[in-house]
Amino acid sequence: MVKINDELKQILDEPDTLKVLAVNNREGVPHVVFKGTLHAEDNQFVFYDLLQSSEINKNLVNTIWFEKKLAINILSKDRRSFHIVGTPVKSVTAGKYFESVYENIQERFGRDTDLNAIWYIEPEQIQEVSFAYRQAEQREKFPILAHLDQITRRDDDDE
Amino acid sequence: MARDKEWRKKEPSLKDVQAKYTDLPKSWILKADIQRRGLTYTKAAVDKIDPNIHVVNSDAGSGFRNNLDYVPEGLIWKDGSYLVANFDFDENSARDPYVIDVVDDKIVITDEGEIFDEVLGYWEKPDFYNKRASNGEPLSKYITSRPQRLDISVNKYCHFWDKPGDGCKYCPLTPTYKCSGATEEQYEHKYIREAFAEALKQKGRFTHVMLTGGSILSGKELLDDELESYIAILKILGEFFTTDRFPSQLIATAFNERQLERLKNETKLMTYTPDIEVLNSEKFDWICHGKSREIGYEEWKRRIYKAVDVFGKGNVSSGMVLGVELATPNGFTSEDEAFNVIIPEAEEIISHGVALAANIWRPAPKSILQGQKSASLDYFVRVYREFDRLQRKYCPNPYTDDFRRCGAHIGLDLMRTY
Repeated sequence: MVKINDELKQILDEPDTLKVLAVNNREGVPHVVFKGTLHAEDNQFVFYDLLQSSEINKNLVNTIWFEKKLAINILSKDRRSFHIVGTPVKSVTAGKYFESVYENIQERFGRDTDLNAIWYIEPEQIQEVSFAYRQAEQREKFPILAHLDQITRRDDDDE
Repeated sequence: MARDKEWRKKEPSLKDVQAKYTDLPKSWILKADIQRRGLTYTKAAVDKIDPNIHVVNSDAGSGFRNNLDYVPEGLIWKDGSYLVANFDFDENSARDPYVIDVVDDKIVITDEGEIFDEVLGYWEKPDFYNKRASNGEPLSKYITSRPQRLDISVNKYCHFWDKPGDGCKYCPLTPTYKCSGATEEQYEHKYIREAFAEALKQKGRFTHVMLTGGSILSGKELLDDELESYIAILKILGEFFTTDRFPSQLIATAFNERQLERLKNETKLMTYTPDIEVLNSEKFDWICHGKSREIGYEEWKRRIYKAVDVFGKGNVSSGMVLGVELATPNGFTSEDEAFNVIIPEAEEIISHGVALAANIWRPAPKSILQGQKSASLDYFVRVYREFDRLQRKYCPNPYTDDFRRCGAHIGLDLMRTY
């Protein structure tokens, strides 16, 4: 299991960060959804699913049943992007902790907001995929990947 | 029945069945096998109970249970579902039970020393279990609880047992009631109201209320007194809600059209479950003789379909005791024969949008069929798999009787990915 570092935890907690989960359904069709409540606890990603009939919930159940993987992408306000591969390891649907989250959700989103489940995802891979980061990485690892005009000497190069 | 020490050699193992049905979750097949074979707890597992947090068998009586040992009432699965196993298992059952143990501080399910899965923990006790009614009795006497469901047992005694040979042969409820020496068939409604009011104070705990009870045959028309009992309590419960209906289920005898209309019009009940129990007319007549004699198999089915007309498609399910069709001496003599007979019958019922809430038959102590041997794991999984295929095709509401609202009949767990 890889470690969720403090920098990523901080990015996750910033309100302008976008957080996306991609989970396949039982037929293998991917479903992608934004999950604002996604955050880190200890070394797991956690999010609150509010609707039992949600596609993401059905797909996560299928994923935990058959020990499959899911993907997360996190995009910070300053356009840094992180790709995460993980596996759902538990779903909490009842109990005192669930009830405390339920009350918190109601305070945040209103009394008619329900809570279906708290999902816990264990990361297996965390990779920064921001464009600038990936571009530099590709140039270093695979210098063969470039259009020639980008590396063609130009008249103003010597100036 | 004395346990056959060679039983493992005579039927497919858990791993065999898991390998055969790769389209079904391994953890779900394990759950089926635990319900079939039973479970026991090591001292280490019992030591994991915190009596201030967890609910144990001795906290509240269940009609399915004589055993009031200090053991957890149920387990919580990693996928958020529950293992309902709060019934008596025959100590001398045909097969060895699974053993709940603790390894590396984790609660695990083991068999012959091998770990098969980890569970998240034990069911938690609702707050109202710590409180008492105005008569000083614990509120748990009047309403019991699963992790998210409130259970009200309206009538403790089933009057099909009034006539010898008429009680359902798999059922331990009325024999258990008789053995307990109890005489109070119904509790005073005021205490049920007090328990319900207290339970509703716990935010985020309950999603559903289930009422059930033994059949009452008396009344102006057959079952009228039973109907009146349910209507009276449903009216009390309905007062607590602002909505036209509230998430609720009545598991009761199959009422006729007039009775169904009253149930719908005079209460805020949302769903109704008249349990057909056995999917074959001849076996039904043998196993549920009272129901067969008073109402009849075909009439019971017709009433289920009428209930769909009254409560709406998706709001009616029907329970059954899966596997009892193989009981001796009059049951099917092979699992293949039973499968081939009950699947077309199931399709007819499910095609009306009626999900089959099929419980795994455990030959329960005190039932007439106690001491018998239940079917193989392969049989239960094969039937559940076929029911699931049919329910995906015909049932519009996968939540009516699902893991959250019940959880005992694990076939409907599979509806979680609909």
